[in-house]
Amino acid sequence: MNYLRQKLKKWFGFDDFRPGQFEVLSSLSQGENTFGMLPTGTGKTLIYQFFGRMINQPVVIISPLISLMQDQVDRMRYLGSKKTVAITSGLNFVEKKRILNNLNKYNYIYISPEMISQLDVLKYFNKLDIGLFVIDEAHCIIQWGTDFRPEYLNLHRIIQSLNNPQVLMLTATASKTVRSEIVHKLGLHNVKYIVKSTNRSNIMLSVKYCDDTNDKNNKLLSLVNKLCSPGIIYFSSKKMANMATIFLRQKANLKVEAYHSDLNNENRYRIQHQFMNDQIDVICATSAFGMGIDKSNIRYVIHYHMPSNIESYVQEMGRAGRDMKESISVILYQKNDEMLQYNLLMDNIPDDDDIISFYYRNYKKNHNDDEQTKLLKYYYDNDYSEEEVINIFQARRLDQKNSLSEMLSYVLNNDCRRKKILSHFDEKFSAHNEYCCDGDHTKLNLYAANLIRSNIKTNNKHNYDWNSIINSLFNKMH
Amino acid sequence: MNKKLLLLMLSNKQPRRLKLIKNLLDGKRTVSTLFWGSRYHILEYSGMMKNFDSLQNEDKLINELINNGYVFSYNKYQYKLTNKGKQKKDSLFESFYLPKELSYGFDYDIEKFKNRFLLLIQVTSEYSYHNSSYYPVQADFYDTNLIKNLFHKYKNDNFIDDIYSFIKSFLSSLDEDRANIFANLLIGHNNYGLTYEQLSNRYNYSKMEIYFINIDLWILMIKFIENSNSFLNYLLENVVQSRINASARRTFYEFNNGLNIFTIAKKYNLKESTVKEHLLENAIFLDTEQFPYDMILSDNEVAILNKKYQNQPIDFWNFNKLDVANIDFFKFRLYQIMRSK
Repeated sequence: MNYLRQKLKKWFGFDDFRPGQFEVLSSLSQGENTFGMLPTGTGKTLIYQFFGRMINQPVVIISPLISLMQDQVDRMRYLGSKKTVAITSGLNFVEKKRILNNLNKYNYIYISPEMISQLDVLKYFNKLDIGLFVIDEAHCIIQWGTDFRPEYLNLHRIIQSLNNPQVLMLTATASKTVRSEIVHKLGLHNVKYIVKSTNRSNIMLSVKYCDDTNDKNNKLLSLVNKLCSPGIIYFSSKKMANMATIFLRQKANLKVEAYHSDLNNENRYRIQHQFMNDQIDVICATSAFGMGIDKSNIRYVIHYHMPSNIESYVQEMGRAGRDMKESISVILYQKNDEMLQYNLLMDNIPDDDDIISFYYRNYKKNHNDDEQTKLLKYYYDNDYSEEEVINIFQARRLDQKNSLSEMLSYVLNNDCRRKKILSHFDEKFSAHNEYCCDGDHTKLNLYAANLIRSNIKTNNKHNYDWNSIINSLFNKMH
Repeated sequence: MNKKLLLLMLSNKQPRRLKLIKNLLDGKRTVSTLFWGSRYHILEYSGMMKNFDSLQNEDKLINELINNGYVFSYNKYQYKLTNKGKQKKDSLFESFYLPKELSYGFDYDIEKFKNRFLLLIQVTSEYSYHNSSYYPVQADFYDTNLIKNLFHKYKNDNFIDDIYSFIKSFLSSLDEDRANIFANLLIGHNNYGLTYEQLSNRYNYSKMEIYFINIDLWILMIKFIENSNSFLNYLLENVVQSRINASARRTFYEFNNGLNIFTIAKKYNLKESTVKEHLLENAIFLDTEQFPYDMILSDNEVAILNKKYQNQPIDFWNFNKLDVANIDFFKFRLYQIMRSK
C-alpha cells in the first residue's frame, strides 16, 4: 500500500486513493485479469493511467465514446500523460497511417471496438507489447452489443489474437449477472472481481409526479429556481432540450445553454468550458451526447424524461456531486412518459420485416448505408442466418422492454428509492433517512444539505470589450 | 435558413431558380450551378452556407414570401420579386448583414484557418500565463503540428508581444462592434469566448448574421496576415484557394499548351464531357482575355451565334431551338459565358 500511495502522491499529487482504486491496482500488479466495478465519479481513468506508468508498457483502451475520445485524450494529456492518442474515424488516411506506424511511441492508445476490428488496424496492435488491455464502460458490451455496436462482440477474438494481454474491465453499472455475461462474452477465465457499491450516498434521489406538460414545466422551473447551481437537465430529444433552454432563459434568472449533437466542435468546446468554469448555471442536454469533461461541483441532475433503463440512470445522475458534497437527482414523471422511451427504443431495433427484407434483397445490392443496414450487415457478414438474427432481435426487444419496465417500476415505487435501485445491482440498503430519497413519504432536507440557493447571484463575469479581452488573454492587465 | 437571405438572392428583373440558389449556397459545383450563379451575380456566395444550416425548407420559405406579397412564381421552377419585394430587398441591404469580403475568384477555407488561429491564440495566451496544463481547442493532427512547430520556432523571440500587438492593430482597424465580436471568438487562459448564439443575444444580430460577420472577420484577418509579412503567414497554407478546382486548372494548363480535348481526356483517363466541363468552369471564373475562346469557337460559329441571338437576353437563349450543325451544347454554353462577360 505504501509503495502505491507514495507513487500516487508523486505522480498525481493525491494523498489517498478513492474507494476501489487501490484494490484494482493491487490485483493488476499481481497479473490478474480484473473486473473493476466502481461507482460513478471515483476516478477510473486514474487506475489505468497509474498502472501504465508503473509497468511502462503501452495501455490500450477500448472506449465506446467515439465522440468523446478526443476529450479523453485531452484529459489524459491535461493530467500529465502527453503520449496519449486516439485512433478514430476522424483521422484522415495519412494521419492514421502515421499514428499506426508509430504506435509504440504512445503510452495510452484509445480506440473504438469498430476501429480495432479492422484487420489492417489490428495488425499494428499485434506488434505491440501491450501491458494492459482496458475495456472502459464494459457494460456497453451487454447494453449495446447486439443492436447498436455489434463489433463489441468481436473483442473476444481480438483479445485472443493479441496473445491474451492482461485485461481490465471497468464499469459503474453492472449487476452480478451482467458482470458474468461480460466476462463470458470476452472469453476470460480466472477474473478477479473488485466490486464496490454503486451507491452514491451524497446524491439524494427524488421523483416528482406531474399532471401534464404544463405542470412538468412549472415543476422544472421551480426546481431550477430553488436549487443551487450548477445543474444538468437531461432530455430525450434535442428539440425539447432547445425548447426548455428558451423557456428557462425567459423565466429563470440564470444562464442556460443547450448541449447536444447540433453543436459543432468549437461551440461544444466553449459551452463545456464555460460550464466547467461556472459561467453557465444550467445545461439542457440530451443523454445521447456525452460530456467530455469532469465537473466536480454539479449540484443537481434533473431528468425531464425518464431514462430507458436503470444503468443509464445511474450513469447520468452520477454526474452530480463528484466533489462528494450533497447533491440531488430528480426525475420528472408524467403518466405515459415511458411510451416515449418505448417508441425510441423500438425504433432503434430492426423488426422481423426489416430483417426479412434485408436478407431477401441481399445487402450487396443495397446501397443504403443507414445505421440499421450497417447493423444487419454485421450479422450477415458473420454468417448469421435470417432466423438467428430474427431471434437475436426479438430477444433484444424483450430485454429492452424489461429494462424499461424496471426503470418504470423504480419511478412508480413509493418505498425507499435507494433500496430499489441498489437491489438492481444485488445490494441491500436499509439506512433510509431525510438525506436519502423522497420515497417512503419522506421529505428531503434540502436546507440542511445546503442545496437551497440563498441569494440569486448572476454569474456575469464575462467581459465584452475587445481591449480588455485581449489584455486578459495575453496577461497584460498590469 | 431564413427568408431574408432567400429574398436577397432573388431579383425583380431576372427570374431565378430556387433549387439553383440552394445548390450554390450549399457549395455544389456543377457547371450549371456555377454558370447560373454567375448569371445571377451571386457567384461569390458559392458555398457560403456550407458550415451553417443549408436551405432545407426552401419550398416553405418561398411560399411564405409569396404569401407576403414579396415574390411571385414566374414558372414552375423560377421566381421573381414583386415591386414590394424589391423595396424589401433594398431595405434589407441596409439592415441585414451579408458577407462583404467574399471573393469571386478565391475561396477561403475559413474553418481550417479558424482552427489554426484559435489554437495559436490559446497556446500563446496560456504561455503568457506560464501554464502548460490546459485543454487545447480541437484541431486536426496536421494543424496541431503546424501550430506546435510555429510555437517552438518563435516562442523565444517576443512571441507573446508580437501576437498581442498584431491582434491589437487588427482590431483597431475594425468598427467597434465587429472588433468586440472578434475578440469574443478568441479562446485562451480562463477565457472560452462566446458561441454564435451567445453573440447573437449580445449584439442583436440573428445567428445567421453572426455567422456571416464571422466569415468577414476571418477573411479580413487572412488578408491582414497576407499584407503583414509576419511569421503568421505560416497559418495561411492552403487557406486561400482558387475557386477553379485543381483538375480543371490542370485541364486548362494542358489546353493552353496545345493539347486538344480528346488528348487531354485520354491522358488523364477522363470523359471528354468532363474535360469540356473543366474548360467551362475556367471560362466562368476567368476574365475574357484570360480564356482562349477563339481556340474553341471559330469566327464562323461566333457569327452564326451572334446572328441567332442578336436581340435575345442571354438568360432566355434556348439551345434546343438552335439547330445548327457542329455547334454542340458545350460551344453554345461557352458562347453564352463569353457574351455574359
